[in-house]
Amino acid sequence: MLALHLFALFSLTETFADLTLALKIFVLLSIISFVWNHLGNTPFSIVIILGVSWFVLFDYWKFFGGIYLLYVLLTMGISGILVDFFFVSQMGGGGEAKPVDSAVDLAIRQQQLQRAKQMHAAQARPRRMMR
Amino acid sequence: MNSRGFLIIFIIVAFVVLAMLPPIIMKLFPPADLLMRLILTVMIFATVRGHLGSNALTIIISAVLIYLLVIKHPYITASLYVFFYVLLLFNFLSVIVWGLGTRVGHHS
Repeated sequence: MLALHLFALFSLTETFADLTLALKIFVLLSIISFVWNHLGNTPFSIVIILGVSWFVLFDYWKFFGGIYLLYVLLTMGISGILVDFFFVSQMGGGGEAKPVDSAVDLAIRQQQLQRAKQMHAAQARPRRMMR
Repeated sequence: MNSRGFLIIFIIVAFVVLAMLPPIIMKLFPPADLLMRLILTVMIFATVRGHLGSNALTIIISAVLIYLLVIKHPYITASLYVFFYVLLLFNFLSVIVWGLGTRVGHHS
């Protein structure tokens, strides 16, 4: 049983490491194509690629990995999904009152109004008596 | 739990089911597995060639990525590809969110 757990854990960490490596290769591709587009395929661009790759892929990978993932997701349109999600679930808080959209709503509102009037009248009666 | 809580859970469950569909189909139908691997291979090679052009480096990087993503972890890659590259890019996930919002949000 312990061996099974260890195997599953090892497999998970191995999978995570493999996916991280694939992500690093995609980031390297982005860096190479960005530098080549701006500077062309010259010795100077190779120096720049090496420097930027070292900085992004090794020194600050935890930061740039997250940034690149966010960049890819935003490029694919994850923000639209988030807008839809918050719009549908109305998690922005409060919001406007629901408009009357059926006869049942109208009847409920009239009942509430009637009840409020009755309560107001019942509260006003003792005051008149006091006078 | 109120209807908003149920709606969020329904949307998350729908996304998880959508993400799990490709591996299940690949496991059940071997031709679908082969087809998906071919699609992933072509997509990876096209992506790398789009970045680097046609040279030896393209073949080396494509080979590494194909080994890692298509041969070693095909189910995860297929799931991520279909979820993000197909459903998200063509805005199908918005349809799911909107559909569940109009159905579940009003009735529960």
